Amino acid sequence: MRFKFFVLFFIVSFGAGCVSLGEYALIYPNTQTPGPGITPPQNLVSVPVDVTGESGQREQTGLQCEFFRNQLFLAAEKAKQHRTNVWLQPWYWPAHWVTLYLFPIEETQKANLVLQAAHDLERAYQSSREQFIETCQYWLQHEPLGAAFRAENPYFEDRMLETESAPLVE
Amino acid sequence: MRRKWLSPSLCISLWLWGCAHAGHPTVDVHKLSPLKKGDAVETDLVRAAMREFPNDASLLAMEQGFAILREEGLHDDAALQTARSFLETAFYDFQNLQEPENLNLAFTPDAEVPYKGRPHERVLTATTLALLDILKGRCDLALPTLRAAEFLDARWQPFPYGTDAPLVYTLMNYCSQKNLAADSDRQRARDGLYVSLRTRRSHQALTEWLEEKKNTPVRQHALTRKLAHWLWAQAAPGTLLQYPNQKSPHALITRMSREALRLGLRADQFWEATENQEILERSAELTFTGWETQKKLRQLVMDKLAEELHHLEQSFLKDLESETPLAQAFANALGQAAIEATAINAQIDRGSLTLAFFGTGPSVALEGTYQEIARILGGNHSAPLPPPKPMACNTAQTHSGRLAFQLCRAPSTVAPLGAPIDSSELWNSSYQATTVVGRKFERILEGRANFKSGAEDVGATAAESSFFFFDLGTRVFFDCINSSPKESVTAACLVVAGIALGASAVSAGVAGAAFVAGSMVNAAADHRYVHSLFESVSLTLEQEDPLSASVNPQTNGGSSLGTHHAF
Repeated sequence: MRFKFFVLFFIVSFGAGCVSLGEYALIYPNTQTPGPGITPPQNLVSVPVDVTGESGQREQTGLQCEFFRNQLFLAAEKAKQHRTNVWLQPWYWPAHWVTLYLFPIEETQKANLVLQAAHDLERAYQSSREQFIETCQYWLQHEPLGAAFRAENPYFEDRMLETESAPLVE
Repeated sequence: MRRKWLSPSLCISLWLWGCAHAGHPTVDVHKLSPLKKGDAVETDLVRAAMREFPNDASLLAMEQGFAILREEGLHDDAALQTARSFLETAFYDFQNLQEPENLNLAFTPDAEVPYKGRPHERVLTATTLALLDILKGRCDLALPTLRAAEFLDARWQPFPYGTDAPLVYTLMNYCSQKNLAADSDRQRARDGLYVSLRTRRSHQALTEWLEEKKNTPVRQHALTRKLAHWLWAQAAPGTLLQYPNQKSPHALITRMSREALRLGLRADQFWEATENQEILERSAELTFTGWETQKKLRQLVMDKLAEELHHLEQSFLKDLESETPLAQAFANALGQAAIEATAINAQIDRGSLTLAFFGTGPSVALEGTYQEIARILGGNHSAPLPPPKPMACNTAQTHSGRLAFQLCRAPSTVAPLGAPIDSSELWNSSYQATTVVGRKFERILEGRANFKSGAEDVGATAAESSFFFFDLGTRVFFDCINSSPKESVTAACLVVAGIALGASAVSAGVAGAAFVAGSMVNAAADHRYVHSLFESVSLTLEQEDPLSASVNPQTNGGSSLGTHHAF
């Protein structure tokens, strides 16, 4: 009986406490009014893109990165809030011990990863277009974060990473 | 007996005193109402009204001056002299112009302070006054008036050329030639004409071009980028209105970049905007950690500003090289301005100017919770009329609502030298009113509205606070006296109740004071404007006489603007 309860608690705690990177990536596309400083997803997605030619590809890269930045921005706000909440929850430390330190670690690592990426990208975003595109490409290639966010980015196509030699920056 | 008559005597005295101080106007204001339709009224009536209502003296003078010029028919010397005297009265009233920025005036309703005219009204009044002097061959009087008109428009802007109204420089140029003024004065008038035309004709194209770049979705919310675009928009009209020797679009774009960077030190207005403040607050929390994150982000933005402006400049230049439609539109507008300036200069050199004043200038509508925003509503162009018939030299005539001036350098000439081929708009009241006046005017009144709104908020909070403490004090007081046994009613208990009731009284006092202060402030904007103002002034451009062109080398080759035909 005690063993069954332990297993149940372990599964429930682990499942309930874990926010996947895929969920983080979906916050922006599912938000209608993202607030100041972020273009609503429906407005951004409605921008027509002609991917032919060098300038078209450059424009597509810019839109990919803009979408990625917006995803990361909202994900980071969620991650920040989540991390604070987790550490303040009374069940955090018992769960931490009961799950042999597994339960909070992965979750916190994901939140930290999202925050680190958002911090880097936002600083680059505020600095210059070159830095922004460069940092965006770095984080889009980063696994597992890049893979999760790319999957929800409508402007992303695999050939972008294959044609890195093309001048993507103005 | 004495007591019997005392009360009636006192009542009669008070009634007489009241009548004497009731301030009934001696002028029947209804008789002035035709002025609002642009119709002149009796001169003596206007003068009496100006004495009766000193705050509206300038307004009445401008209304009557323009209304006389709107009367149909050929204007004789007496009518022109009367119109001139009214416009001159208003013009001299502009000289002691000051902004109502001190606190005493902030508590005064705007409509109760002396009216000094809005900038576009002042400039057109001064320019029309100068034109009436030119008509009588008095360029010596007109030139100082025109110089004043130039800076009545842009009195808050440190530009070497004070106005973007080509009309002022056209007349200045005409008079400079007639008076055989110094070459430098003549050249300045020509340069002023060119830069004012350039600003008028190309600024819109540049704004659309900049707007297209601003709306690019990538990094739309980056503060560095937003600040660079904002500064560029601020620097652009100033650059167009300066630097007459920078004529190519490439040179102007480079100059705008430098001007924008120079303005970067005064970007406080950008940071004060609510939208930018919200982005700053939100982004700073993510971009930086620790204390003063907003300050760090602002520093980052300022550090990167030069780089961002350089990129914007490169982007503009690249568009010019690629000949994108908006870049072409800007370049074409510059070229058109140069060609137009050359044509006007040629017309001036020919010694004959036909100017037409027509339409009704902009009106003012009040908006906002406290009517604190004065919205300028565009004026009306009258229906297009055929070119005016040849007029005698140095005469003025109103026909079908259009006032025409025929200026000739040689008084004996009867008709214009060539056939009219085109016209050039040298003045537009609505444009002048909305591009120079609006921002400054609304900013002052918004401040007043904020004060009134703030006072109301304080009053409401203080009133709530007063009720809360009153409720608390009375509860404590009744608990004290109802407690049993009675001996337990201590002094401390009553002191607590007294403190709560005292706090209630203080809050009530604050609420009352805030209410009084709020109600004292009249945040409403000034609704006064000149109804009889003309909307537009255009110059008739005549067919160039090949003979006179060959005789007068200044017409083309002598003009500093001749090279612009390349556009």
